[in-house]
Amino acid sequence: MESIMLIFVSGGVRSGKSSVAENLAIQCLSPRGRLLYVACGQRTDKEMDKRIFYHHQRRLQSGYQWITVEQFLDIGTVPVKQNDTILIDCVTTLLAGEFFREDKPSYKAKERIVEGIIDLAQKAGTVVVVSNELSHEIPFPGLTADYMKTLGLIHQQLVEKSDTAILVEHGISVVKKGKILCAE
Amino acid sequence: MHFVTGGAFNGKKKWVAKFYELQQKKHQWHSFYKKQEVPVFKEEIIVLEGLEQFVRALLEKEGEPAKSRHVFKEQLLSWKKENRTFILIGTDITKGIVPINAFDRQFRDTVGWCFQDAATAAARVDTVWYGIPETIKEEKK
Repeated sequence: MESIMLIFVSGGVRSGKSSVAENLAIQCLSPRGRLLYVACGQRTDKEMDKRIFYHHQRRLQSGYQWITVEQFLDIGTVPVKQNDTILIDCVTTLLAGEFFREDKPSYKAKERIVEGIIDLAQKAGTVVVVSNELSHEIPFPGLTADYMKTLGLIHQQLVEKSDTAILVEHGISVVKKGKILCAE
Repeated sequence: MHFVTGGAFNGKKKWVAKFYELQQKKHQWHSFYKKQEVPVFKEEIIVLEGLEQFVRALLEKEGEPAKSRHVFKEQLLSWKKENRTFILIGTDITKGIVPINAFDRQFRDTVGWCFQDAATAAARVDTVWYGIPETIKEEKK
């Protein structure tokens, strides 16, 4: 078993975090493995379709072959093979799905997500996980506060378990933990 | 004085407790989330958590940002004069969307100003991002 690698990438909306994450995944790609893109956002309207389209186009133009998997719940069940490189986009949408599903308790959403991601990393080898910075608002009451708190705790655990943690600000990678190779 | 800030739910408390080894050391932990008033200080190490809530209470009392900031600055000075280690923990609420409610906008502005004052008064300032500190100010001893 080769060593596992977990990379956490977070940033604001339109910060360029997806591009950073895609480049990191490509850098980590093993010649014996595949490149998987796990989309966690549910297609809810036309605007969402458009976002998905642009992300998809960018991956097509990357020069690498990406396998796209749509997975909104139970992230740990994505069918991966040893030596695969998995890009998960993103934790906020995953949490929304896990939080509001009716067949499993929402208080265990954090465990399902963190354990699922670690599980994928152990099975595949490399996981790059993208999330969003949401914690600088005046805290909301009720459900939104629960969601924000859970998201914050998930981020803390993923950063703790990660080899590399990056905050993307205006397209610039601020490496908070570990190190990265310079992307061309 | 040490000012620790960062977004909500980023592990600020946890980091402070670890950094100052508070499990082994005698200290006084006061949360402005639980009680708005400044406590009577008894220990050598004082942790004041929820600084933005303290600012909010000041704003509610004083009615306007400038006055609240003035009172806040006076408070910082009085803390600095005490022969104790003060650790101030405040959640950075200044980077979100502009609030719809007028009071919330004022609250956010006042927090921004007061946190500047806290950073000026402090010898050390750290921002915590999901448990990872970044020292953005450190005065030479």
